[in-house]
Amino acid sequence: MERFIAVLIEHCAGKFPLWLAPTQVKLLPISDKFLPYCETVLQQLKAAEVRGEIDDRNEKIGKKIRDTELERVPLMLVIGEKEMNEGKVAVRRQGKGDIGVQTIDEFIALVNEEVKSKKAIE
Amino acid sequence: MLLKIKGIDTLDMIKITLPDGAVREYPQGTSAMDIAKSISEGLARKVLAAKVNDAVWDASRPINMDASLQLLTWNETDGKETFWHSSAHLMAEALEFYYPGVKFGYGPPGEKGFYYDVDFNGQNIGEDDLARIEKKMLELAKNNSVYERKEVSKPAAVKYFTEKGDPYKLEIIDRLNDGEITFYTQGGFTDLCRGPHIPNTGFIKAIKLTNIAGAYWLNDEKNKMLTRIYGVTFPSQKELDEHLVLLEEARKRDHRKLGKELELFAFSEKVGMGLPLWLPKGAMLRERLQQFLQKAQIETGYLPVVTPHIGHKNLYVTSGHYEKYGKDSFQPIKTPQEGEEFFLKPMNCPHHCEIYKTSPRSYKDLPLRLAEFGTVYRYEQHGELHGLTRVRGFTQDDAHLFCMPNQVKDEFKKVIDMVLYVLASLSFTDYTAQISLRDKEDRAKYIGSDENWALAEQAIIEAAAEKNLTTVVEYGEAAFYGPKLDFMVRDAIGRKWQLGTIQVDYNLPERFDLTYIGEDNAKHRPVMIHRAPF
Repeated sequence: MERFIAVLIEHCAGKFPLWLAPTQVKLLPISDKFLPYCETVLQQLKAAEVRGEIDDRNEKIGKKIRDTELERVPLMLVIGEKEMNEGKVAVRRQGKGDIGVQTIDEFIALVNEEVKSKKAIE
Repeated sequence: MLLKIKGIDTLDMIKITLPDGAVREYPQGTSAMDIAKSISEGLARKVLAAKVNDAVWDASRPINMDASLQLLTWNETDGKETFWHSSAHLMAEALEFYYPGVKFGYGPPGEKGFYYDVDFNGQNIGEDDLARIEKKMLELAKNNSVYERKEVSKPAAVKYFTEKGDPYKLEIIDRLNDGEITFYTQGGFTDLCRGPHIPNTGFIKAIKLTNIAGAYWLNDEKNKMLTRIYGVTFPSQKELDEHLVLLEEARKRDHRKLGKELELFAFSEKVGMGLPLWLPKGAMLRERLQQFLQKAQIETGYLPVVTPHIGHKNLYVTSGHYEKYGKDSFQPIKTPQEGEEFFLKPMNCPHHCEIYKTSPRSYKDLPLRLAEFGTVYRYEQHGELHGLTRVRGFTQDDAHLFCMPNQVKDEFKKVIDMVLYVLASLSFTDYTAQISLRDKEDRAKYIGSDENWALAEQAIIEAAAEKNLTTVVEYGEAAFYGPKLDFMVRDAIGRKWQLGTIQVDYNLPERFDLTYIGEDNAKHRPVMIHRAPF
């Protein structure tokens, strides 16, 4: 396993396919105000077996996105006023940028579908 | 006299068979370079060396007998290696210029360039010096110095290096027989060398000395530490530039660097070198991968088992590992009971053989496929350790398939299917397989019946063909206990990586006295297949 994981890391440059990524989704609140909503979203993700984390650092959203890109986390959810009020999430994909606002159920379906199909890295 | 003159007409010409099968006649003593010129001047300008009857020769060396000939250019691996070997000599010449009195150990080419082990005898050299050495090498290369081969008697060779004061070369000469010693000289540098070399230094147009490391003389920690300088050279600047881009890309992807940045794994000197610690994120990744592999295994009919990390000495005496590796591996664990010894397991197969033996087996039970993510420990020398690729403790996605001889092909096909499925799921799209078979000439050194070997070899070849694998067949590369198939993958930036092996084994079933009752009600020996591709 060790050698194969080494080869895999070098092959995909640390950008693991979604089904394999240690952290699949990072939740990025625009400010602390949205942390409780992020927690609610994270609980829903966990219940659906989606591996997520919240970036609760007191940083600007631009920096949070850049750092998450560097961590090679495949998906990001940017969460602000609008998302919270509408009960939605704004989805970004690593290396691709914004892919639209979705309900949490839509997002979970997207993750599940991609994990199930073992979609390879592009 | 007359007889000799008469003979010349016939003796004087040699038949040269080219790779396309064409046979041409040339005067005796013609060199590969002469032959290249007779084909085309353009080709001759690219010829670095030649394969004469399967041995690589200098392109300038006279050919005196009928022979098959392949001209080697930069496009051939043997051509590149010759080029890099000659580059090592060029580097040595440049080093003698800046560091008079340096002594040289070995300076071989490899798959990615060359190195030379050097004793600087107290003179300081560091990464900062590499640029001026490169510059000197380029300057010397422009002299178009010819690499001249000379056969030297052993006493003359000893005399030369005694006067030069090079103890390493003298040590090498000591192991050589008189009559097989050659020197090569280019410009002002002469080396003890079997060759072959490129025609002249002018072919070397671009040079990069990549790094400096320490290396014990003859890889023995008891010997003096020499300075190993690595380099790579090319026939054009463009190729060097492309190579440097690739190196930079490889550096960014280095799993040791990413492992740290992404918090996947770490090493601790206190825990021990070569023993990776999986951090939470790395463990998550590994768990996912393991679950995925295990699911694929179970779908193929594998039965997961779990065995301990240590085994009694007797287990390894029976398996033969004790005799073969006992001294070079981790030393036994003793218990309060006098004389009782256990070993850390270096592989899972002996434990699995014992599982096989827990109950009588019939042909109806076969194939029996025992699988385990088994952690094994193998001692590697300190200097050999490298990130996750060379470690002292690691987990194998191991399985042992116990089957009847006529089931080998089907089992191979199933393993190939699984490997291809896993590779596709991880977007590895470029892979090849190597099939290692018996030596065609010498069959006495292999264990197991001729009939079973022939059956298994045929089974592997057919299984690979039916699965449309691109394969290379290597004769004489099989282990003494059975033929095998290895997968090689190319990663996203074109580098080749060797994965694990699917190995037939006639030895362990014998040593562990494994049997099954056949349809004929008689006892038979099962065939064992080891497979740990990932």
